[in-house]
Amino acid sequence: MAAKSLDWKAVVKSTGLRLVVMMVGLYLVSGILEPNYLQPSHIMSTLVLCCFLGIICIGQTLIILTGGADLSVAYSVTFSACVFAQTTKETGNGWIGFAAAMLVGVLMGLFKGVGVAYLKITPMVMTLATNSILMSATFLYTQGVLKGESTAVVTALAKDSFLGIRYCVLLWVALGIATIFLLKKTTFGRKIFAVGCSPRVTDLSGINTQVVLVGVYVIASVMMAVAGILLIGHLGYPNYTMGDSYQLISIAAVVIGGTSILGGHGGYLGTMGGVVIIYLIQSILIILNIAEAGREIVNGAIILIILLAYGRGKKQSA
Amino acid sequence: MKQIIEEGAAGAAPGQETMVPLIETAHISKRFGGIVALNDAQMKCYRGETHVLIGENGAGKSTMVKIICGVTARDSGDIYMEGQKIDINSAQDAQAHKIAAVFQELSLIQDLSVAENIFLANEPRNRFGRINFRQIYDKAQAFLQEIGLDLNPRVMVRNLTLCQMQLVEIAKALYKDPDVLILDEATSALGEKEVKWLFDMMHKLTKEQGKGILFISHRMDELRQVADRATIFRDARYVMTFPWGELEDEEIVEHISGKKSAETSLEKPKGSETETALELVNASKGTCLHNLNLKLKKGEILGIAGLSGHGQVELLHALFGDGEFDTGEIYVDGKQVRLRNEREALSHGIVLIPEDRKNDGLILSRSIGENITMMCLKSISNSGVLSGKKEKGVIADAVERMSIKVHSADLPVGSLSGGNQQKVVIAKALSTKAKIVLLSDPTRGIDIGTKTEIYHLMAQLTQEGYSIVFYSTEMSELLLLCNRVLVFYEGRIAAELEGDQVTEKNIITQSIGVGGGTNEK
Repeated sequence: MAAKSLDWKAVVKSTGLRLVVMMVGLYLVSGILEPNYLQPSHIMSTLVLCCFLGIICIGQTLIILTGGADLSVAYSVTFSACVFAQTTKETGNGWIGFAAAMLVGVLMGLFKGVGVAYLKITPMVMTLATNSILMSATFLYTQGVLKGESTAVVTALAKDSFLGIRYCVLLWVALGIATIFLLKKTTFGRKIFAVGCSPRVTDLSGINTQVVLVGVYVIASVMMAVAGILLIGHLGYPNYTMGDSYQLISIAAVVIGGTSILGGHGGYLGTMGGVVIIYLIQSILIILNIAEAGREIVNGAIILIILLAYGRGKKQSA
Repeated sequence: MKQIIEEGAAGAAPGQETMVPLIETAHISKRFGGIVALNDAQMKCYRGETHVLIGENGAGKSTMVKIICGVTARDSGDIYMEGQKIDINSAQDAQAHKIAAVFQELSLIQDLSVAENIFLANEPRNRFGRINFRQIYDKAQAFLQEIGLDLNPRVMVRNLTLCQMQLVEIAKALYKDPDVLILDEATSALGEKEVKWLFDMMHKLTKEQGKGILFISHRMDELRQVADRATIFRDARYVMTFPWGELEDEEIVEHISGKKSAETSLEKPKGSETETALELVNASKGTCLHNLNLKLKKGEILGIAGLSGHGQVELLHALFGDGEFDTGEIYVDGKQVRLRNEREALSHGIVLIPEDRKNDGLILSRSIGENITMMCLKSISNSGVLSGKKEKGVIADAVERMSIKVHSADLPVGSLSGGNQQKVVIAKALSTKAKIVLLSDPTRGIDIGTKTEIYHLMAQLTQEGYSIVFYSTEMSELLLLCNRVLVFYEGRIAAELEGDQVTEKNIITQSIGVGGGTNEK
């Protein structure tokens, strides 16, 4: 690996450079439109928004790498957040609430993973159905009345800083590094890429693809539960729509970040760039005074444009 | 230009000096990144001839025909059709000039029927542009009958055997009624019966209808049967064109390899008389395998023969746990085992090298290194964390042992030539250290040099205590390597040939089901 001559063609074509150029460009545009946005405090508050999506996107990246997509983000986040808040209120102990939310994360992941891996249900259909189930589960569990609120620890995570950086952003970076390590340096990571490229070859190589898939869905759902808890810290209280906006932009961020929508290629570092780009675009839209509905239209358009531009490479199969 | 005219006269068959070639290429060059695939190369094919292109893998044959049929764009050079300069930049251009091609890699759409695939983009439509399905099936049925193929046009391509898919691919090309038909390793998936059908078809096209055929195959005996003239390529360059029969086989090999050929002969490993590595008792599976009894001796190469599609592939896959036997007993080293999935098979020291390296053997878009280590992740990691040092060691060993020609193991495996890809598949399987190796048609579509290397490797492996089950569609390989051959017919072992009984005649007799049990010496 040492002292390789730099291949400039490859650098220009690389996803990394494209992402950096987009980030710097969008940042400068937002700064020109609204000079206040160049303030460090604003940068930090943008990063705080990024960290929720970023942690959700750990799950989304892993699932898309296996060739799937998770369309149950909205209520995976909301349901686990509600479980955290309500259990904490009922038991008076934030740790029990946390444990309950984590357990819900694992169970959600097992449910989706078993459906996809063993029952061979297409990931999109399986997760969309799961979303619908979790939505009803949320209403049944709360009986239509949201209970509970953030705890001191969780609020501190979302609002307090260490050396000027919010704890939740630090947590995102730490989880991000762990994810990159998982993908690049572990046998499990290798298996994730292999399954995404060709489940058939993976099977014939003696790798248990089903276990890999279930593992991925469990990690993904636990990450969504973590994001749900952090969001409570950010918002103060749970609400029924807290997860909705993440459904599509989580996929957009992963694809912008250079992960193939067909699976098998990409990584989490790119996704982190994709997350930042999504929020830079959002902030420009806010400066331009475009209403919520308009922003949703733009979000949808971004996904389509990104998919047209790249990420539709050919998949190895028949 | 002058040089080419002279050469053309010299290389043409008698009586053809004055004829204009049906298709001609001149000064064709093509680079893929840093690799030169063709360097100022040329070829000519006249009406009424089967012109074979020969050379090792990577010599430039396939690139040449891919340029002619618009799959690959040339960097420079000219293409002429009946003396007229033509421009081919896409598959549509080629089709407009009545050029059709069949490749080893299948291009069929798996979820469409045979008929739809044949007519793809040329479907009969009604006034409103809707595809007329009744007509499509009737027309396909009539067409298949006309060309003499027994295929049901309504069947989904997914449900066909590899051999049948290849036939559909050929039918699809024939339907375009091409003036120039390109067959690039199109016989590699076919059984002997189908090959004969194709050769009859080719004879009709060239000798009766005056079409031109460009034919590429790694099987010398096939070339012998069909070639009128041949062009040799070596290292991306044109070497020579000659009427078939003017050169001896040894001379051809010399021109192909650029060096004198070494006689290939190997000691057939007989295996241990007492130790059995693998045994099957009364094993059956669905409709494809019936009541199989076989013993694999330790250290032998057990040949599996027969026409393609008679259960050989299913047997090897079942032995690797890819589709379990329904009934019967399996013994490994004398202990009864079950093989319900690939992991169980591996745990008993059985590994499969699948016949379809592109779909079953390799992940083409991932690196050579990742592919090699895919089956031995445990041995290159410490409790789940990859060790760069161990990984490099395993890859370096494999690259050296298999003499894989590669600049860097970080390149995608799809960038390698067919022969080197096959070496990666073998390296990947050997990395498991499993001692029972199931080799399913490992030399399909690879060059003579690599084939020989694989034969020597197999012989070497038996010395190291490996036992090999070897299925091949190429009889000469079985004759070369196997002391014992099982001939399959309709999912049964029609005959077990041993020692002197292993002859071409015996294998053919048994594989068409007329052996009747006794074997001639």
